[in-house]
This record gives sequence, structure tokens and C-alpha cells, in this order.
Amino acid sequence: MLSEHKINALPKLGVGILDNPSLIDFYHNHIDLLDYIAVVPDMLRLDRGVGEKPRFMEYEEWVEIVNWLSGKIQLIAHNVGLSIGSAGWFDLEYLDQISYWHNKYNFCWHSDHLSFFQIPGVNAHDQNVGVAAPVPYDREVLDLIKQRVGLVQSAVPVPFLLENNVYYVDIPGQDMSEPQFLTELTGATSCGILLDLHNIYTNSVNHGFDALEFIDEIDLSYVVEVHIAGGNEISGMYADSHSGSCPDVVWDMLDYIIPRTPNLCGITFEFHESYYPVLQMEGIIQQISQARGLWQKHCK
Amino acid sequence: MSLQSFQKALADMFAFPSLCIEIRKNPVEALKEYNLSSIEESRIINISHQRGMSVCCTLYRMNKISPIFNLLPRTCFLLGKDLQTELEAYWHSNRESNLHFNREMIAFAYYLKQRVKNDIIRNDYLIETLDYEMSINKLRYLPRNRITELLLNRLTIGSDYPKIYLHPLIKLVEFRHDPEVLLSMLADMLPLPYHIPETRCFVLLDATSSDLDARKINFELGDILLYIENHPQTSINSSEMQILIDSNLIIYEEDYRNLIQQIPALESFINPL
Repeated sequence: MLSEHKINALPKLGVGILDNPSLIDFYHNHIDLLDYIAVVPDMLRLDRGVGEKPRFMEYEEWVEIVNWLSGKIQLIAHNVGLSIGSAGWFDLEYLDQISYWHNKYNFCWHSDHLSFFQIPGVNAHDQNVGVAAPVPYDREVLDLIKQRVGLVQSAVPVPFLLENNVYYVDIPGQDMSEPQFLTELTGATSCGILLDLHNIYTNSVNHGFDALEFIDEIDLSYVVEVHIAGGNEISGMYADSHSGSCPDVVWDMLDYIIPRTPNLCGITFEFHESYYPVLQMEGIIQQISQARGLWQKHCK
Repeated sequence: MSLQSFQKALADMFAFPSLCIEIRKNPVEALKEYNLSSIEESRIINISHQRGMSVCCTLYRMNKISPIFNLLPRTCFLLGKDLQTELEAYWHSNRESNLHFNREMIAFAYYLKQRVKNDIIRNDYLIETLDYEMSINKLRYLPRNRITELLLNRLTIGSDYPKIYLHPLIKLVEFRHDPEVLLSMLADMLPLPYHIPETRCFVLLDATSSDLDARKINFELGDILLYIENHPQTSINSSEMQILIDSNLIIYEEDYRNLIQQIPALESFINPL
């Protein structure tokens, strides 16, 4: 393990929010309520697609906002486009972008999702799956992802975290359970975990397992960041739609997990910008305050 | 290859619910194109029966429609009840499409233009509305500050027969109906039919200042700018040219070449669809 990937040396940041376009007014009025902002570098550029030259173009408007934020508060990166679980596809140009934005903003750590959502298409174009699809928790996939985590760690000199996935279909007959897969992956690579509590809650509702038992099976010393969010029902299932306030169960899970995660550095509240009219400024302040209450209760 | 085939089959099921139904009915036939191992085949068949498939198909559609609806809201509104049919047909004809906002928008716009050209879609207001939204989006994605900075010291007087281009932060949209009436009806989300008399005119979209400005211009000026847009490297009457240069509507070829050299992707934004 490279020394710079040591997660136990990271700063304990506190409570943050995942950036989205509806938050500009909030930043101008209440940035002091936050300890950090998780920016999505994918929002800072136009990806013209694989094969295009040049492929990426910066959105000046967004870059100016993040430039302004970077002078005021600590930033971390939450990428959404690596698609680390794709077979026959690993996007080295995208990896260069992760490195580029890290060099620009000096993130404490960066993360992406343990899933796949792109597959190789024809004519050198990528094909988007449309959802973050689950990877089978098999030895073959573990080996693939271990190798790719190594490539990411070589390219970016701060800890890399993978986020546990939300899934609506279950892949039968897998070699390992999700906690076993995460434990093996983190043990072999020293990759950190971004533990999304709402994803666990969503999966527990839809697939009928106990969320706290699931948490107990994970090696929590690798958890660096926690995501909290809200959801609602789609097509008869509970969905991780980031639709506003966190449900009570997620707050209970957060209260349970904080004292058990020695290397926890941040709690990130996330919501989709289309739900801003429901949540509004007061709702965001309330969610951040509630998260801060639990952070202070256990981490003071 | 087998894992890759499994992921391809799963992705296709999310995109095409009809495939999912086929797999349930006749898995051997439906999966014969995929190079699946026996365990992967049994996994796909199992998944096709799970209730979560409908959520995945719904999410797929929500994520696919987001870029199109966000970038082309007036066009979507004009399509009305035909929107769903057109989207389904577009997705079937364009399986390789992806979720990059700009690319998805361009691909869908190209598809719609073909449908109108082939008389499959009959809507008098669709093309001008689509062109208007496409032009706004192209300007939105351009690196405006960088272009302005690079053009700070642009030429103001060209050679004897200078070649000219439309300023990259200027777009011209041709309307066949009064744009003020049409765009106002769309802004108020008034349903079709509209009864707007036909009249040829132009809207000039100007992103050379901090805010994007849209203004109706007379068709004499519109025709000149349209000619320049459609005939880059052209040369026109020198007095007209000086007025256009002074009005920040056109630039000389030397400045254009310099811009393209500095921002190579610019050409794809400047060229009309």
C-alpha cells in the first residue's frame, strides 16, 4: 500500500453536502454550516463521448463556482462515471480526468461506485446502461476490480473509496455476499469504503434483510465517508431517489455506525436538485444540523 | 468475454422490456445472440422474472429522457402525446446512444429532423423550435470567457478581400412563424393547435456579453448572416462587412483559425446540424 493511501491519516472533516445545481443560494447564505462539499467532477465538463477529439470540454460556469468554493471550504470528489465493474471496458481517459481535477482542487479523497453502467459499444462508442447496475460478487469480478483499484490508486495520490451499490434485481448464485466482497476488496487493495446508508436501507427493504446485521458484517475500519439520503416508491419498490429528508431508520443507522467507524471522516447529505422545492433551504439546514448533532455526539 | 456478455444482456433487458418478456417466454431463442455461460444464462432468466426489472426499466427511461427533456423542453412539449412513441422509436433505432447530455440531444434532434423530412412527423412549429433550442444549448456549452478572451485583440480591418465567419458566440435561428408569438405560447405551455400566420423572420442569439440575449432581427440582416453562416470563408460587400464587424456579429478568418487552433472542439459547436 502506498503511504499516501492510508485512510487513518485523513482529516476528520465532519458534515458535508453533495453538490448539485440547486445549492448556489445555500452556499452564498449558509456555507458556514458545512465542513466540506463533495463535488461531482462530471458536472464540471462536457463529455463529448469516447472517440471524440478533444473528448472533454470544461463548463466555464460550473468551474467558476467550484473555483469560488475551493477558496472557502474543503472539497472532496465524488465521481460517477468510472464504471469500475465494466467487463472489457476501462476508461483511461476518464481516469486522467479524475487525476486532472484532483490536481486542480487537491481533494482529501475521491470516490466512485461499485457497479457498472457502461459497456463497450460498436464503433468505439460507449453504451450507457442507464442505471448503476450491480456486478456479480464473484471471484472473477473481484480480481477485475482489484486490478482497477490499483490503477486508480497509482494515478491519484489520495485515498480512493468505493460506494456500496443500490440494486433492484438480485443476481443469484454469487460466490460471495456483498459484505464478504467488500471485505476482500478492501483487505487486498486498502481501498476505502463510502458507505451509503440509504443504499443499504433501500436494499434491505427491497430484498428483505436486516440493515444493521449487514453493517456488522463489513470491516468498518475502511469506512471513510457515509452518505445519507431519502427515497420514495417507484413501481412498487422503495427507490434510492434522493427525494429529500432522510427517513428515521437512516438516522438510526447513522447513530449506530458512527461509534463503530474509527476512520470516519465525513457524513455527506445528498438530495436530487429536482426535490429542492420540497426540501427548501430550511429542510437542508435541518438535515445538516441533525447530522451534525450525531457527529458531535460521537466524535467530539 | 462471458462476463461482458452477461453485462450486455442485463443492459439490454433494462433498455428493452420486450427482450425481458421474450426471455421469460422463450429464453433459448431470446438469448442465442449472447455468448453466456450456463450459470450466466440461468442468472439472466432468473432476473427477467424479478419484480425489480420494472424499476430498472423505469429508471433507465427516466435517465434517458432527462437530457432530452432538460435541453429540449419546448420541442418535447410540442411533440405532446407523440413524445413517448418518438422516444421509443428513437431508442430502437439508436441502440448505441449514451447519456452524455450534448451528444444525446444532437442525436435525438437529428432523428427528429429526419422524421419531419420524411413526413412521418407533421408539425409546423417543430423544426424552428428545435433549431432555437439547439442553438441556445450550443451557446450554453461554449467556453464563452475563453472565446471572448481570445478575441480581445481580434482584427478590425481585414485584407482587401477578407474571408469572414459568423462570430462563434452568435447564432441565427430562422423562423417561419412570428417567434415572439410562438415562444410566448410555448412558455405558457398552451397546447396545440396554434394558428400563427406564416412569416419568415430571424432570431439572433447573442452570447457575446454575460447574459444570453435573444432578439428578433429584420430579414435583410438575417439573410446576410444566414448566408455567412452557410457559406463560411465567404466575402461580402465591404461596407456591410464593416458594420457587421463593428456590431460584433462576424469575425475574420485569421481570428477564426486562431480560435479553432486554441479550442479544437469549437468547430463541432459552430457547424449547424
